[in-house]
Amino acid sequence: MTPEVQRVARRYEWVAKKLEPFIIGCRDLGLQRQAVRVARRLEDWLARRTAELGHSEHEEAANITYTLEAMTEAVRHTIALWIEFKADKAEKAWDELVAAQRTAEAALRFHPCAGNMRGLLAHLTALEQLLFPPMVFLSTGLIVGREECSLCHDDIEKCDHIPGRLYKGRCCVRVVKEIVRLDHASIVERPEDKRCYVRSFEVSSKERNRLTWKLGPKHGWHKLLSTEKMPAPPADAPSL
Amino acid sequence: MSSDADPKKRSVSITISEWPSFRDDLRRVNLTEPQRVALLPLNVEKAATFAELVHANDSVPLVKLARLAKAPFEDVTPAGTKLPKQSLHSVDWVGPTLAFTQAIISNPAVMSVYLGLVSNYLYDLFKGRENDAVVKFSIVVEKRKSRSYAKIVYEGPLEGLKSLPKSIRRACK
Repeated sequence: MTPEVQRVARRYEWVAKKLEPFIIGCRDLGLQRQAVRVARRLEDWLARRTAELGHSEHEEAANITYTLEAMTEAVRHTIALWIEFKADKAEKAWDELVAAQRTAEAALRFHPCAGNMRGLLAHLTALEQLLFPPMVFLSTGLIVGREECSLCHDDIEKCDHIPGRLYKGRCCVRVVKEIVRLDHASIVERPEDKRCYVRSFEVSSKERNRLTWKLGPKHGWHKLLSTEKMPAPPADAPSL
Repeated sequence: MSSDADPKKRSVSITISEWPSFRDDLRRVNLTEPQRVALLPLNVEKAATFAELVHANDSVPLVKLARLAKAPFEDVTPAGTKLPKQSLHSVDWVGPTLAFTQAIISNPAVMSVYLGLVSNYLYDLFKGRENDAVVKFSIVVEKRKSRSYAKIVYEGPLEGLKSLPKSIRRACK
């Protein structure tokens, strides 16, 4: 580890220790908001270090700082989950949970230094099961043609960059340039993106939000996605 | 929700079946028979023409990793042509069909390079959600005596991949 990476890692560890208490739900909302701001500042600082190291050809060092940035982001999303949840914004809280899970998983893939993300992932799985109902997820199957590499912009089949891996602190991703056709859309148990879920179902002339259980006006698209129909309530049932 | 509690999702299913029309199927869709090892499109059995063929989404990284490991897959498509890819958005991994001829199967060291390449890629891909991963892919093998082909379909968790060499040996008899 170079002296520059050691310096970055020390700063990361110092701030990460300060952030850690705020992933717990009962912490003060104001302090949690402050923790999110601190995390953002750390992410920005790490992003600048990653860019500098990447430009100066310190590949491994840039990959480590990029991974630290992803780890900070995962913690920030976990704290933000509670902020949204306590503000009665269940859908936003769910999005933060999913963002935290995805970022923590990505960090684990990026570099072995993210080993402690396994603990955070276990914590997030527990929150998913305790705070949210069982979800109905959707997934699309596309047939795609030309794809480009996000790093060299060459045809993804020609260059040597492996999608999902880091190169000088930048992640290689496949950029779809041509969708040939939509093959199918399906309901799946384990989607790639848990933000694609059935949000509401029809109850007589209204829609019930699957997360908040609130009744709202119909938007129409539920007819395509709704998987369950509620039986008509008895005449003497109290309205919610 | 996590599928940890669902034992069915975590059981290994390996089915071996004969594929007597393998060479005819390849000819029908304008693909050449592999000489050593190749990645085949997902739907060789069902497609009527070359235009209907589709590759698995993750054929691209596997081809690249094999190239970097200096153990490349053969290209069985006509020169200058390219197949579209199926892009699925599920955690479950539907991989390409690997075709091994006796030239590779008879050399266990080379064979293990290819199987290691696939399993290392998958372990990397599923870091953090190893217990949740379900992978599904097929291996086509040329039989030792009859030189006909058999198809092995694997569906299950990552830890079950280590049982594949035994299934390949059984299918090749």
